[in-house]
Amino acid sequence: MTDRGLYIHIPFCSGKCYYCDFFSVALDTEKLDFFTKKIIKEIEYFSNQYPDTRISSIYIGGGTPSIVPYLYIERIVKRISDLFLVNSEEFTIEVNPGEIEWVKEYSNLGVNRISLGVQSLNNNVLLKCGRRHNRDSIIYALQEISKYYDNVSCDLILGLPGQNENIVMNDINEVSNYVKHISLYFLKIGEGTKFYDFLKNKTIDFPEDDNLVEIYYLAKNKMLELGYIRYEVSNFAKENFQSKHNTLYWSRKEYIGVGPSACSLIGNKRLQISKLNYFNDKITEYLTEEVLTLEEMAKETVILSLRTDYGLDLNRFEKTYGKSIFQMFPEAMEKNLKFFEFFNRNFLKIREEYFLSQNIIFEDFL
Amino acid sequence: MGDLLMDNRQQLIRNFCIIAHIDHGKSTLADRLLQETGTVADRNMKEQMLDDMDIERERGITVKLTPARMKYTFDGIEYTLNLIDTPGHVDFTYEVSRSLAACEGALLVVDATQGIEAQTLTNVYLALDNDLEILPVINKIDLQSADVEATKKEIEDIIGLDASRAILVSAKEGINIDKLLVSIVKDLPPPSGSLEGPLRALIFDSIYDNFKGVICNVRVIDGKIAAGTRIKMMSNGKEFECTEVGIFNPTMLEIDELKAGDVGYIAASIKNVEDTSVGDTITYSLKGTTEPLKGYKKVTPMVFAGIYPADGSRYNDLREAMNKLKLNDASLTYEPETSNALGFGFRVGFLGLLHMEIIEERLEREFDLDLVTTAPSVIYRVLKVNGDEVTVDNPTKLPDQSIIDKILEPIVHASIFSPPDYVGPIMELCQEKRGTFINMTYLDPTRVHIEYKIPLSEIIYDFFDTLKSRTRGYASLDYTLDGYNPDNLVKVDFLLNGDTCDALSLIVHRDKAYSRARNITERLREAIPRQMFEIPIQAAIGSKIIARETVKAVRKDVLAKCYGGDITRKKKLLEKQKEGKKRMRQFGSVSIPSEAFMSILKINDD
Repeated sequence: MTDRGLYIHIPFCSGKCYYCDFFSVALDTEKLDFFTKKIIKEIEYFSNQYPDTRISSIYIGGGTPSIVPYLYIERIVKRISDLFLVNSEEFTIEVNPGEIEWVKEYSNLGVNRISLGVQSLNNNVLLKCGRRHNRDSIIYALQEISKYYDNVSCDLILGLPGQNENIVMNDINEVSNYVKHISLYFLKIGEGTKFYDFLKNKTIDFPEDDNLVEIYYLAKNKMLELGYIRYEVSNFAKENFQSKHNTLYWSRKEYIGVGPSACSLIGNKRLQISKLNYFNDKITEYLTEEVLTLEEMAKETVILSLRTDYGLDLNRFEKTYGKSIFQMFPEAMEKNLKFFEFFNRNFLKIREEYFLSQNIIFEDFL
Repeated sequence: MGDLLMDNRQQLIRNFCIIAHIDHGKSTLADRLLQETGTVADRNMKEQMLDDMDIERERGITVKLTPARMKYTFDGIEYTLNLIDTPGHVDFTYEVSRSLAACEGALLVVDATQGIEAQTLTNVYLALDNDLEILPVINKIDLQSADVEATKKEIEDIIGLDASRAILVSAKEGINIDKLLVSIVKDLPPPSGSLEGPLRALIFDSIYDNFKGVICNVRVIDGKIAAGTRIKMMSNGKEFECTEVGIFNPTMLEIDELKAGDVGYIAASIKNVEDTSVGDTITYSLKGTTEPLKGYKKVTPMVFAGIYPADGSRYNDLREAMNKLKLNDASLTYEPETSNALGFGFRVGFLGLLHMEIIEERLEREFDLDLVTTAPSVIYRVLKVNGDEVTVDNPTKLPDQSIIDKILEPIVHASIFSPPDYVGPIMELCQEKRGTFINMTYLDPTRVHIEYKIPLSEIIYDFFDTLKSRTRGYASLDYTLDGYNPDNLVKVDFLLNGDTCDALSLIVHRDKAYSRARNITERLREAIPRQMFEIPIQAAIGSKIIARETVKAVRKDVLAKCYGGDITRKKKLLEKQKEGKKRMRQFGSVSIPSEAFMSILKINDD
């Protein structure tokens, strides 16, 4: 058997937040039936294609899975346990504050981890980024979820309009009363989002990058103080609460992804469910397959592992690719050597002072 | 057929060019002549027919001379009219002199709403030097603001031509074009020259054709030439067999023979661009003439700049492109150059700034090259303390300050025509640019002629643009080189991360060095993207730092979420970001975008 993670993309949202460039649609019954059937079909497809799969973790993300009536989630999860051998140590579902109706019931399905999209606790900031809930409903959600789950994570975004150092520190202090895991993402303004227009038309001001770096490090220190460990550039967790599912992505372990725009990594193949042809009946019509060369895989290993605090395992790299990283990327290594450090003998890491400029290093490896 | 008939053939040819200031309607007039004579059918007519290059049509200027043959019947006799279009800008005086040498007459076109401009005058004098018959043509008479009488008076007072026979036309409206054609036939002389003598043909232009090799545009002075004729280039003795002769109709049209008095082209499977040179005389291989035609005075470029491919690997493409352009633009000079920042490229000599812009644009458009151009420089004469003299066309090559006795810079005699209202601003500008007043003449109540001596380096900097903006476009400028003067000049170097970046060095008057250095360091700070480390940008005279800026280190360039499905997408994002940086030059550990070198080209002193 091969251990694989399973990701399910639920594309429904009650509205589009100004920063969001994920795939989402408005919720209606007809579409609900349609997407649920499709997702189930995809699960069946993968179980047929890869019968040797043992599911090691499940992550239901979106969109907002928590606005989908429990019945549908249940139907999907049932199908998973019918078709796969499931040994999931970690089963996460994403929940939006104000949309927590079935939080308690999820545990009946085996869910043992909740990820709450907080983003900010400041009402002014929430308003400016098009969130449809406020501080009170977030605190309420955190309290409710904590009644049923020990392993709770929340997302915060750094770089939202109106945000400053105090607001972020305050948010971290407050959420730390409830959660074992914090994802602190830098805001990325993607094309096609409302924020993109705001930025272009200078409708609102966004915090400066230099300022955000300061805040990031203040936040990081604050979290360290509170007992969280950083294990990836945007992810902090109490000991043993690091996300197993996400770690799988960064260490290039195998995973299956279903739902529109989801992605799988199986062996040397990357399978992508295209949202373009999604209404086509035959999955093969909208599932694209890319066979990765050894070099492509090596590049991904560099980009992904250097994001983490574990760093890049030089021994494992050489074993996997038959060459050391120095042999594989001589120019990029030489050019960037001064930005790296070695630790525990066999791990390569980006020095902390360059950690947030990592893309510039990665470009040399591409 | 007897000699008489042959002579008669020459009697029926008129070779002429048009002299005009930019915007005075030269190209439009040429279009009308082509239409009126039926040379180009109306339906094939595009505006400014003879301006072949996209750049010419877009900018409304003529750069290259393009010949056209027209047929015109007067009094029952058919005449052949060869029109050679000429450029009107100061930079292209050289091209003008080439077309003049191929003609017997010139139409002097003056805009009835503007009067004579600086450049017109220069070209008229050139035409008079070449013994051309000049026929004044007053254009734009249809406009409300046209003042025909004042324009006539200017032609008589300033140039000294009899304006009573001037033809009054509107090229735009097609008024009096017929009268003009009659006057061309009646007032301009036919070509002299002997049909019987050995061949003498003047090459006045050439282009490269992938199939036919070099094509020479020629004016046959004596003799005749046909396919099969063995010919010789008199300057280098190279011999060829003529494969094709033809005329411009206005596109190339093969004919049997070119004879004395004709304007046309010759192809002779000339593969090597260097074998022909504009101004050379073509004669027979056997029993040719021993006396070449006068040819042209070799022009000396006044402005120099480094041209480099933005993508260093395209140096060979650039070299090939320069070779081909040279064929078509005899005034272009260049030699290989190496820069520590830009790699392999060329030091290119230009006639002026417009010429430089045109060459850059032609290289980019016709040869699909992306270029990096360094700041233009003039030629300095440097006297060393030991008495030696060196010339410097690249600031990097200026000898060490300690062994320099004096630096002399080229001075021009600038001639400016303007309405009197702008005398103040013009004189102010000339003073700012280190000018020395020579003379001022009121030509009439509406026009004044101002003369100054100004360093050429100031002219090529931003003089023309500033002149135009301070006089709301009314003033016109012409200049001729007028010796060298010593001045207090210094070299300013720019250091990136501590290393001198040679492509950025410049020579400037000491009084302006500080403000220029501050200005450029600021520009560089804006143009150079933040990198992993802090980059100091310094300007220095010798070892003395006179300005400093810092490009701060990048603090944040990190992908937000990076989960399952995103990896492919994020990788593409990074690849795109990387692609955008490909055009950057690696200078030590600093990456400099090509644009950074360009951004310092046009700046204002304040």
